[in-house]
Amino acid sequence: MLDGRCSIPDTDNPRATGSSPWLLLNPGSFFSLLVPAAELFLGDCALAGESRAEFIQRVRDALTEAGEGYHPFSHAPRDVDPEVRRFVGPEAGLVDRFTEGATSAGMRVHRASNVAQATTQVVQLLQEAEIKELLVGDSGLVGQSDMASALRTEGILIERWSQLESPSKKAFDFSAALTGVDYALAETGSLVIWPSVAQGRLVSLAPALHIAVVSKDQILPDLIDLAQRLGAGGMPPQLNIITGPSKTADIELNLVKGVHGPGAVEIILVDAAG
Amino acid sequence: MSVEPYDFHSAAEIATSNSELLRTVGNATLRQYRGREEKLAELPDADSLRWLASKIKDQTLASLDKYLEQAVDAIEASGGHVHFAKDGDQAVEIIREIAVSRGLKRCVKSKSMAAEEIDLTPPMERAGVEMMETDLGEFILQLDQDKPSHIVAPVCHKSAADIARTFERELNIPYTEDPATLTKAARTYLRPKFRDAELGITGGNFIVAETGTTVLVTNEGNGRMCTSTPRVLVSLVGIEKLVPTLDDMMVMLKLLARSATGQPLTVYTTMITGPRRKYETDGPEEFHLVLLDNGRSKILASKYRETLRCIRCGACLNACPVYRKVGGHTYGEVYSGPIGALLTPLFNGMARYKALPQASSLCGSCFEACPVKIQIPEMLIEMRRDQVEQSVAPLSERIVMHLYGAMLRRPWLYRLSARMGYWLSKPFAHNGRLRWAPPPIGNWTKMRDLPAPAAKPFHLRWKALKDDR
Repeated sequence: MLDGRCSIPDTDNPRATGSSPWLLLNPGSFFSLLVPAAELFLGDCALAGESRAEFIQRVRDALTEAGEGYHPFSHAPRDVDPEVRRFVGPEAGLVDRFTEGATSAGMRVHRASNVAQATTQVVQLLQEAEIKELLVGDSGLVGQSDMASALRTEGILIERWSQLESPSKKAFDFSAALTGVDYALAETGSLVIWPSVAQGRLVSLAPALHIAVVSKDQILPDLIDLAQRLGAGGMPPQLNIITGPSKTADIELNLVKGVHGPGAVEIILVDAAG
Repeated sequence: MSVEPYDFHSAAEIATSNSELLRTVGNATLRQYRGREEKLAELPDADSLRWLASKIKDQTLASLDKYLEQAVDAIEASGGHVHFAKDGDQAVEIIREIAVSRGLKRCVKSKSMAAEEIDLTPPMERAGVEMMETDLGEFILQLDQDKPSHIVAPVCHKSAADIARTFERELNIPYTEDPATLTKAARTYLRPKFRDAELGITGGNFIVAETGTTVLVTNEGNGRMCTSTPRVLVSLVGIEKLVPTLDDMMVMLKLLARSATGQPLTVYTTMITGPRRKYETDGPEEFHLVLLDNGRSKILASKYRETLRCIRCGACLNACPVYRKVGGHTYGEVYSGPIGALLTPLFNGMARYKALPQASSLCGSCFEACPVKIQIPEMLIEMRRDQVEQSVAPLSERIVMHLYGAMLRRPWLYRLSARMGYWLSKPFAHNGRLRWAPPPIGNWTKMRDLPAPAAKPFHLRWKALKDDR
């Protein structure tokens, strides 16, 4: 008898959709059971599709077939300068570039000279939005300076991601979240965030208001710099470059914010980590 | 066996007589086209950047086998699984098998052209999987049992009124054309679907070979949801989406959103490398990449390899005067517009889709718009040449062209025809133009005027000029 993993439902045969014993007596479905049965005995189960070798060999054969004779219809000129891919150099006014980009992407940037000021601004933003409860991802500057504790003393109801029960469900119940960032990008005014023990993927996604605390020295000039950092450090399981609140223009090109992700992203840019 | 050719002309006639369609598609394409122009003009040297991108793609395609090996190794090293689908049927099989063998019934799906190509949803639904489209445009199409008409703006053929009616009918909300209200209704409906999903299915904009990273660009947040809440994630990606390094991928990113909608980047650029790690409490426990061939290796071997540079930005659709007037459904298959005019005959057969390479005035706007410099107009001409050589063109056309060629090769016959042409066409000419003529010339004059042949043909006037010297 087959175990559940190998059963491929015979969807064209209306009788073969369950585990009825008639399944085996029906000649049509008998043959559809032969293949998975063979796989059971031959080794690894659930192998629909081709083998890696076959698949890549076909690509190799295609390239051989085309051979040296292949020429594209449009040729790049010989002397394309690879430096054109960099838009922002390290000498540029990174804070101004970042603020410009973030603002035109629909995010607000608030300046704070230190973490204490930043904490006050978080309280103000929550008051403005009339939200009392805050989901906190202890990442970046937020984690480093334990902003969650300071906010608690200011009377905000804090829940840390790392202490939530069933975090991937509970995250949906919050209206606001506070996170740090891993990097920021001057080129596009973007935030770069990836998960950690203290901050799951959903923290900066599920709640409608996302407050992100960025330290000035986290700002990289260009996407090219981000590629270099990631290349050196290895890729996290998921990384997001966030450039604005969630939006759509699917309904006759009318811009609407807050589709599935946060409808508002507030950035607090801190000068010094002190 | 003779194939019934797809009747593009009839479809186009229906489309162009639909004034609502002209309005919605016209607006969407023009807005996106202008957005692209503005954003690219901001760059000091957009043209060089596009050539750079085209080089990256060409180099990747030229060693695609090597980059595939690298990508597969990297994905497996990060804890992901890779599956290999020779064609659409195999891809469906693989994904269905993953869902059924793990008892996954609730699926949230992010927008994917590849998934459209293989028509994934019906077989999955028959296998008992609820396939929830989560991109707002695709969600609307699903409620309406309709198909996308644009690579990037799938529902641009619908008006706010259309969508209002759909939501009223399917979501039981009071009729409203207000986009914010409609969007909120979709958000409210889909939120629990995200939270409780077991399977996430996405496409992929790029795969970075060196790190085994799959990249998704979205604006709404559904791509992030689909890759964060379900316990199993499946990404279906065509093999031509590979780029060698993270740096190369950044070059493509700098062009993609600018070309598509005129944004420097989309709201979310999501990069996935394997399943969740041990320290995580959300994210998929399993990551499956399904690599799709489905005719791409055949194109790789052919003179049309360049079409595989395509990063599916939709800029050529927005630039094309034909697409703007007829919309995506008129092209009859998943890929429409100028790139579709090449891909559809290549993927789905030249005999059936011979009308598509003909449906172009060769204005070249598509080539001007393409971020990876795909020479679409030249390839359209090449396809027309192929059609003649493969005798795919209709018999009457071949006869006329043969006779025309025979006349042009014989100077005495040419001169005779020039003189006769004047007398034969005189009854039909008005003000020097032929607006109607009997077939086979009638096939031309149905769509365009012809200048009437002159009373004194050029060769006689030239002779007279020379004689005067």
